[in-house]
Amino acid sequence: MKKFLLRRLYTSIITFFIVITFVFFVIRFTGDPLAELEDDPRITPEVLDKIRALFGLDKPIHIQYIDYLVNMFRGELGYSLHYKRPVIDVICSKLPYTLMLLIPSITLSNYIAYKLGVECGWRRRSTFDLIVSSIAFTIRSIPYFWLAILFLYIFSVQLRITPLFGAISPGKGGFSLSLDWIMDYLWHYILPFTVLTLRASLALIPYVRNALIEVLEEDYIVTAHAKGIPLKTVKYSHVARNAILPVITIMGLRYAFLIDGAILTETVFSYPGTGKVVFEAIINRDYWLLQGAVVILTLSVIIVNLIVDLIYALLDPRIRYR
Amino acid sequence: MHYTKLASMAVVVLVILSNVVLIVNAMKSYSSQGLTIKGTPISKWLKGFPKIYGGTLKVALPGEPNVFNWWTASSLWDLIVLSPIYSRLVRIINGTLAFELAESIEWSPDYKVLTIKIVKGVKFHDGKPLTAHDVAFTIDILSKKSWTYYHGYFLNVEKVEVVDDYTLKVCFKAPDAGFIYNALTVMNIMPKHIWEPIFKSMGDKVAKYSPKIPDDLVGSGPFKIAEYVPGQYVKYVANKDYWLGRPCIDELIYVFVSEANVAILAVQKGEVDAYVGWITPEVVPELLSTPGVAVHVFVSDTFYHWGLNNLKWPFNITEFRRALAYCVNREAIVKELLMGYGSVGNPGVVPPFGVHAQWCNRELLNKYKFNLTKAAEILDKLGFKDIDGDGWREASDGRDFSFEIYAPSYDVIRVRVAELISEWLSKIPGGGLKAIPKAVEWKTVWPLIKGAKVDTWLLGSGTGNDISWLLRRFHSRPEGTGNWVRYSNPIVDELTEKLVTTFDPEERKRIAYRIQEIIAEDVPLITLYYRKFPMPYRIDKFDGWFLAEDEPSVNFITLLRVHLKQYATAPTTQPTVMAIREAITTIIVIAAIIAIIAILLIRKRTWYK
Repeated sequence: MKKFLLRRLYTSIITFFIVITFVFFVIRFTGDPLAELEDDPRITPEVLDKIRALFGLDKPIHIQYIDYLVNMFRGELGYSLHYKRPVIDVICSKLPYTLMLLIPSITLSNYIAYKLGVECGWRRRSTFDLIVSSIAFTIRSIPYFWLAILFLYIFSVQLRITPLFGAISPGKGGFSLSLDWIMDYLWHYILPFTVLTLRASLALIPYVRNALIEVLEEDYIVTAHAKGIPLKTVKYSHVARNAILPVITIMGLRYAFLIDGAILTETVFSYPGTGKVVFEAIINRDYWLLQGAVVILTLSVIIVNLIVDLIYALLDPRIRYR
Repeated sequence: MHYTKLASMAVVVLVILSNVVLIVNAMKSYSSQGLTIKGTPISKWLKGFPKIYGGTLKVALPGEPNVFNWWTASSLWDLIVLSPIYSRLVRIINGTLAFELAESIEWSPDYKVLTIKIVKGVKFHDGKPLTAHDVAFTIDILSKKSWTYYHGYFLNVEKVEVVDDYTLKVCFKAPDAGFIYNALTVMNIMPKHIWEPIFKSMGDKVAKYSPKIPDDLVGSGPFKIAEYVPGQYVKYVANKDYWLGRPCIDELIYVFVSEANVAILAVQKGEVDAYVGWITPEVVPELLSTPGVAVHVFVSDTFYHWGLNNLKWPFNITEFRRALAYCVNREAIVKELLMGYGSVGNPGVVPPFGVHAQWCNRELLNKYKFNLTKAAEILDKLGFKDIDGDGWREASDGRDFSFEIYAPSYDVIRVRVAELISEWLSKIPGGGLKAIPKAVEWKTVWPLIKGAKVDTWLLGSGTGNDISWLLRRFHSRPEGTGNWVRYSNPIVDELTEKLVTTFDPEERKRIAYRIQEIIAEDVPLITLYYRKFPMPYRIDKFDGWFLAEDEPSVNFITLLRVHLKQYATAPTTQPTVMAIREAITTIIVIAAIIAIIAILLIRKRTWYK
């Protein structure tokens, strides 16, 4: 087990290094981040040169790369060109909203998908399976953007029970622990949370269901039944535990892409979050912000991958001994 | 012999006399008083509305401010959000110059020194008086720190001198006739007592400084910033000590709503009172049918044009460019593509509205009416003829000829315009011109346009408050910034330079007219349209909106004038109603979720036993 862990750690570090190097150079081929300012009648070429110098854009690319690596190991992700603030600040100002929205949503949707998927697979071709699977397929094929707008239209415009936009009512202030604030926060939270969770869990159900059906055909399930093991034990310990392995990766990686966030949710519900920050960084060619976001993203993918591998190893002893 | 001698003497005398007259004239203008700038006092726009105090104005913005440091703030949202906090010396209101904190502005006779007197008794939000020292500090920083956003307007400033607490002198290295319109109308007056210590301790690092809110954001404007919640909103409270009298509303909130459809719904529901963002013209009828909602349409001075690479053959041939100008139906673009939400482009480029109207040569507006036959005649004369009969004109040397029209993929309108132009070009009688419309990711093509490597493109370019912006766009400077079509005409070079050094308003107007005539004649680019934007706002709760032709319904004057309607009910009961409703909703939804989970767990036990 120790050897297995060390090997995974070692490959992870190499992956991380390759990814950040790749990102550094790829971003620099996508265009000049200051191009927009070049047609601005207020900006003279001298001003542009000065801005370039301020952000180190005038240095040769290999020097910029060394600076980037050195800063990274010092834990500095640099200054955002667009926000003119440290990258960490920019991301952290929005991160709490994203974490609060996505961690519960992903966890709940993973749980619902697991439970319903197992049920559907176990009782395949029953009325229950038919209803759940068809709902899952219907919702899955509706564009997410449209689904969100539909929910907004029904609950906020027609029924008028949820707010139209934002994470808190304008004027309520920043984070506080007062009951008033928390109620307001939850009131705004409920709709994006519901849409995200609903859509994600329904999208995952078919994976779980199909994985389960494959396992159901195995001989050892027949054996288990023949041994007279209680149905519930067969369902969860024999079938589900084996079926869940490939799905664990999908479910786990959803946590890794947290920072990418729910950009569509953020846009439709005008909900603050890191998704839009990353998106705007791409649009604006904000090198440092994008690099910072990619570094965090890469780190979280690697960490989650490690955790998933660990869970895998726990669930499937074969992997441990390989 | 005798006569010729006499005649030549007479000529000499005449020349000397005329020179003397010229010199005397010059002396007269030199020794006369310097030029006093005329403008209307800002209070003119604040008359004739009832003073009803109270209420919170909520305005939705589609974008979020990134930078609260005014020295470097550059995005539209940054500038909108910072504007209510600060005062300026002068402002452009409804296309005219309005004096805000400036009491008088005067050029010295040699136009090297600008004397500005400011209004007395103005205070910053923290109670400190606003004096000439603050104005001088602001101008000084903008002229010395080359990383500031507006530095380009302050290049000619040599130094600033404070004469007394309410008078200052700005000295210039070179004459700059556009200084007041360009620089002073956009310059927020920053408090010296706040920023000087920051500059002292940080130096050039202020460029990356994000001010503490609200401590560092002290201004002298009608609103004080109260709170900023990232990604959510900015809240201001009225400055009760504002020198022009307090604004009528108690609070102003800019809410960030990223999705236009949601913002429209929010206006319709009355959750916000206005939306300062782009909406598609299709929704305007529906908005207008909503009780209490009005739509203000304003025009932006960005000139959208078909840029022609003046360095590349055959676009370097003036006649050829003229032929292309006849192939563009500018009226049709405005009527059909923009659905009327646009103003037809002036072949002389200068927009015929707003602050630009005073310099716009309206006689040129009807030049180059859509006329394909005329284009065909010119092309025939140039030797662009369909020789092989395939329906397309070949180049004068007999080879196949085609070119590209680049349009940014993010702008549907420009992509369609490119297609339309190529369609019109294909319909030229006697053989069409082959133009290939290309919708592309703009940042990839921009370097090519900058390097004059592509044939033609569709670009929207900014102007400037002072007519001297023509220099940036049409002067053949070696670095070429702004003049992306690489237009070069020595006469235009000379005239645009003269625009910067000539101060007499009438003379400047004459020069501007002449430049526009030459541009219309030479067609370095084809101005297509200026866009109009519909923006919804509510009229059932607030009154006093200031609707200018070239500004959104929410602007500086609106913020000072807007007030609750007399018969509007005070919104005192609403918050409690909201609180109860949201509490009930939350409880119901949480209960529903718990119920669903519970049902799932319970049923799981019973299903398969």
